[in-house]
Formats: sequence, C-alpha cells, structure tokens
Amino acid sequence: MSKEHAFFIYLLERYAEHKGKSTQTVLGEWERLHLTENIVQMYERYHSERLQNAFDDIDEMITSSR
Amino acid sequence: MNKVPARTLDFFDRHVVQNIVQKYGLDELTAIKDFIGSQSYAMLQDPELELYRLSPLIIFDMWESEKITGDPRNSLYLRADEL
Repeated sequence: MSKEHAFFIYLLERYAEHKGKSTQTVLGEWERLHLTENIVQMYERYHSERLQNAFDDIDEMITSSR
Repeated sequence: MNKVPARTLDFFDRHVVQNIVQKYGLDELTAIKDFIGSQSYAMLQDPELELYRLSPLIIFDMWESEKITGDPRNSLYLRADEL
C-alpha cells in the first residue's frame, strides 16, 4: 500500500475517534463534500505535522464546503 | 460499551484493503471506500461482536461474502462458528 493511502487510513480512523463519530459517517461526509481526494493529496503536509493540525484543517475544509 | 480503538481498525483496514487490491485489482482509494462503506466494516466496528479478535483474513472473507451474496454473515468462517 502506498504511504499516502496508509496515512489516509490512519488519519481517517483517528479523526473519527477524535470526533466521536463512526468512520463510515466521517468518510460519508468527506465524500459528500468531495474532500476525500484533497485530504489524500495533503499527505506531505499532514504527515509531517501534529495530527491536530490536520484535524483543524479538515474542519476548516468542511466548514467552507458547506 | 467502549468503541473498537482507532489503532485496531487501522490495522484491519490496511490488511483487508491490501487483500482487496491484490485479489480484485481495485485501486487503493476505491478499495478503502468500498471496505469502509461495507456491512463487514460496520460489523467490525461493533464492539459487541468482538470481530477484532479474528484474523483480518476472516474479515476479508466476510467482505467477499457480502459482495457475492449480499450478506457478510454468509462467510464460511462465521457459519462454521454457528455449528
């Protein structure tokens, strides 16, 4: 598995846990807002920063996509 | 009851997705979306079923059974367990 997709799984599962939501609910929302591919492409930045930064960035993307 | 920890789900996701990619030739992101959206994943995430105690290969077999029959409970591993 590519490092980008392995990290995406890691990020998705921890974001869901952090939010207290099911992973299916979180991925469903990312898909509905067309964010999934963008989040995968953010690997270089997200994996080199603390995870909370990625969570905050995703929250901002969700807010601005609604 | 507590949820199945993210690190445990992460472990299963990677193994099952890898198996889906290798056997069916899906691209990785499609396989991730397919598995996470499946009934098999929903069952894995249910702490009361304790499927996290099983091998990822059994979860993969459940996913295959779901694709073929529409129900992951048709996996031979789960059916054999009922006997």
